[in-house]
Amino acid sequence: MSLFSKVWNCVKSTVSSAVDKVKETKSKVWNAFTGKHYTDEAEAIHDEINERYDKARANYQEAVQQISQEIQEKVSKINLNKKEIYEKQFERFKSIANRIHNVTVKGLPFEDFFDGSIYELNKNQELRSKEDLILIDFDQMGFLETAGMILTLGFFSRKKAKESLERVKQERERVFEEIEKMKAQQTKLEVVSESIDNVVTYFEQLIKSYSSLLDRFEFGIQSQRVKQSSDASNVFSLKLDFKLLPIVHLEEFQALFNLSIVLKQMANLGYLNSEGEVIVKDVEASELLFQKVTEAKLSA
Amino acid sequence: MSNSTKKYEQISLSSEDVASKLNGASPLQASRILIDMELFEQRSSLDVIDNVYKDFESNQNVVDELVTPLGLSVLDSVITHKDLKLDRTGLTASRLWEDINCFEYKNIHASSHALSTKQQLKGSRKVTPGKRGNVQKHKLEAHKVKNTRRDGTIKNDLDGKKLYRQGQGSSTLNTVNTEHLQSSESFHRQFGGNILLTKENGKTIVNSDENLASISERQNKMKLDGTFANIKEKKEQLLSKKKTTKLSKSEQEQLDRINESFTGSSLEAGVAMEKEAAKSNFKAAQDAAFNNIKDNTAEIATQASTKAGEQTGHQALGHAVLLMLKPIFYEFNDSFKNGIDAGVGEDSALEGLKVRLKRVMQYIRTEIVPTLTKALKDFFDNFCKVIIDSIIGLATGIFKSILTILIEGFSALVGALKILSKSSNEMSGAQKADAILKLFSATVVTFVVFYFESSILPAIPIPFLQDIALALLSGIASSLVVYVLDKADIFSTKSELRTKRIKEIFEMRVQQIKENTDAFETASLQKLAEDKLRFKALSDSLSQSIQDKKDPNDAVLKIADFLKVELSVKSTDDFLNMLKTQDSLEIA
Repeated sequence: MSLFSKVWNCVKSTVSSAVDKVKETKSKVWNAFTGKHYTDEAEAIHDEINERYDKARANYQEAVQQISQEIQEKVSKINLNKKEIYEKQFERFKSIANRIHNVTVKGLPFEDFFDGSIYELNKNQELRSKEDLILIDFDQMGFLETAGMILTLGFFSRKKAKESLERVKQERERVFEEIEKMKAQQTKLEVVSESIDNVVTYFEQLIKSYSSLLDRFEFGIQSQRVKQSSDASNVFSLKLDFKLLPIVHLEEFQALFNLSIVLKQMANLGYLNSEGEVIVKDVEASELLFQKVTEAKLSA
Repeated sequence: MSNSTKKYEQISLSSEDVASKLNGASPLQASRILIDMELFEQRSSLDVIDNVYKDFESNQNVVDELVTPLGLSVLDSVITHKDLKLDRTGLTASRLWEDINCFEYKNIHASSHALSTKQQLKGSRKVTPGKRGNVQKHKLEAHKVKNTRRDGTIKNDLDGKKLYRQGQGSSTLNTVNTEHLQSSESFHRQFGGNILLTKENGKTIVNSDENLASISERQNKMKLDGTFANIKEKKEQLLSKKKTTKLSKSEQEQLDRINESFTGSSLEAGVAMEKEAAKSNFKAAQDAAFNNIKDNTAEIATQASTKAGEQTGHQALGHAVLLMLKPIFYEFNDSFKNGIDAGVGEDSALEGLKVRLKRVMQYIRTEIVPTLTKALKDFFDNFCKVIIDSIIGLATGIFKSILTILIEGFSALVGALKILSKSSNEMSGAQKADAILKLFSATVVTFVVFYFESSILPAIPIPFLQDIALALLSGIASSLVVYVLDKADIFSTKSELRTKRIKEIFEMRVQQIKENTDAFETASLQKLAEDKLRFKALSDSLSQSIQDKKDPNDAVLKIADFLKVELSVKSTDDFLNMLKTQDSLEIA
């Protein structure tokens, strides 16, 4: 008895393992016959590129957001500088210089803006969905379709499945390009941010120098005023005579005049996009406005 | 491949491009220039994929891959067939293939050209030049007598002037000569080697009234064995030369002599008559050849000294078969390029094929059959009918029972599975598919050809034609099967190839984007760093001069120069001048 049971167990285990093996092999053969192994592979690849693309996209979006913010901050600094040039520095220069000669300033500061939306990803270029790429769904197959598949020796389902796999492989190559484009865009933004740094420095340094030169000039003019008014017979004379000024003050005046032109141009310029440029029509309009204001001031 | 890849290339950006753009503008503009620079093209990557798909849809390469090798092998089997020995005549399969590729139905010269090649069969016989033996004096005399008018003069056929018999004229200008319009020499060169013409045929044709004309002795001497066209050419050459430069003495004499001999439009008349005569001689030679085959084969057999008469017939048939292949291959080329049905505006492939083959038969009947001898005509016509019926039967079989054929080829399927199970290191997917396609078509073709051997070949009596028919039909059958399989693309070879191509293209594009980005980053960061340093130096010197109560103008000018801002006031004198002349200083 015990011998029989031993043999039986032995046979049973052999048989069951053979059955498992047959089952396994059968599903393998069935998959090869229908082509399901192709779509399985296609799905695996799609999952893999999806993960890769998502990661790249997340990194890109985070980076772009951060750099955009940096640029935004720098741009608002520049905008403030532009405003300061017109509202503070030029006003001060005019009031000091007016003691010698009339000075007028043309144009208006231009407000820059940074449009980060151009760095947003184009929805159409993103990884296409599984539904778009995989042409055949073995899990949702009805009886008729399965029967048809068997009758046609699996030719058509295999073809569709293979086609799906190839499409996903092609998509992988395409997505690699999209990822590379993101990297390129990110690099570009970083470089642009760097370049804005330079502009910020230009503004800061030049305004600082302008301001200290104004200090020096104001002090000089002040002392000349005292000197000239004590000498002059007409104390009510409004202007100092530039011909009587020491050369050093004329040099300061000249330097300030030229530096004003530089600053004015910098304030009128758009740094990020072509729309930022001063449009001629605007300049003319502002000149007109300026004249009217001056006339009003004079008549008042 | 490189050419077709070009349209998928990304734009390329070098560090020199970046540097030169930045250097050309103010440092203030740097950001904008950098933003505007493109590191990759605007075309979307989806478009690239779409275009590759389109490329694959156009079937240009099917013809090269499929039809060319097939055509060459069929032609080769015809040309090198041991009974035909066509290869001895200098024909090669590839030369013929080129000829076939140029074939068009509209090309009417095809038949006359083919005819002369066929009739001349140059390869096997040499023509001895300088043969004047064909001239028959008594016929010339008879012609003269026939044309003599009542007053004893003869009309010059060229200019209508009076001509006198030998010894009666005052000069060579009005003495009659009876002339061969197409010279005996030239006729001999054209037809002397023709195995279908006897010597007697040549004499009759050359000395026929159609080829004879009465002209002056002077005119005849100028012509000799040449043609009137030669003289006309010479005249025109001299005249055109005269327009630009002065003619030499001998040249002027030549021209005068031509004008003296050929007055009015007589030269043109001569050229026209010459052409007419050549045409009628050709026709006469053709007729004579046909009659010879029909009535007098024995004599031709001796004429064809080195060849037996039967072989001559075989060669003629062989040539006719080659001619027949032209329209057939044309139709197949066209079918693969434009679709069997769509190319001729039919709805189904079978209907399209029928229309196409009808066209071929029509061509064979009007263009090839008339060039054959009577004896061969009916036979060849029959042969073509059998061949074309077979092609239709073959195609019907393949199209109607493609599934049956596939099931019949089950052994091929088993073989295919074996190939599929090979590891990918051993064989790539596309290679596997290719091997399987071949396996399939081979199986199917044996199946189809078997049908031919049993039912159609008995209809063709001559053994060598059976060989040719078998080669032709099995070739067409395999190309049809492969065409159908290719259309069905059972193993998705196409999509695999497409993936390969797309991978190639995108790898190239990605590499370019990487290079562009690198170039952009390196060049622009370097430039920005340089700008920064330079500005710092300038700005430091400005603030230093301000602090030290020195003249800051030099520093200001340098800064303006660096920022590319134009300043009109460069010196203190300029400035003083401005203060003197202008009521108000304008910051603009």
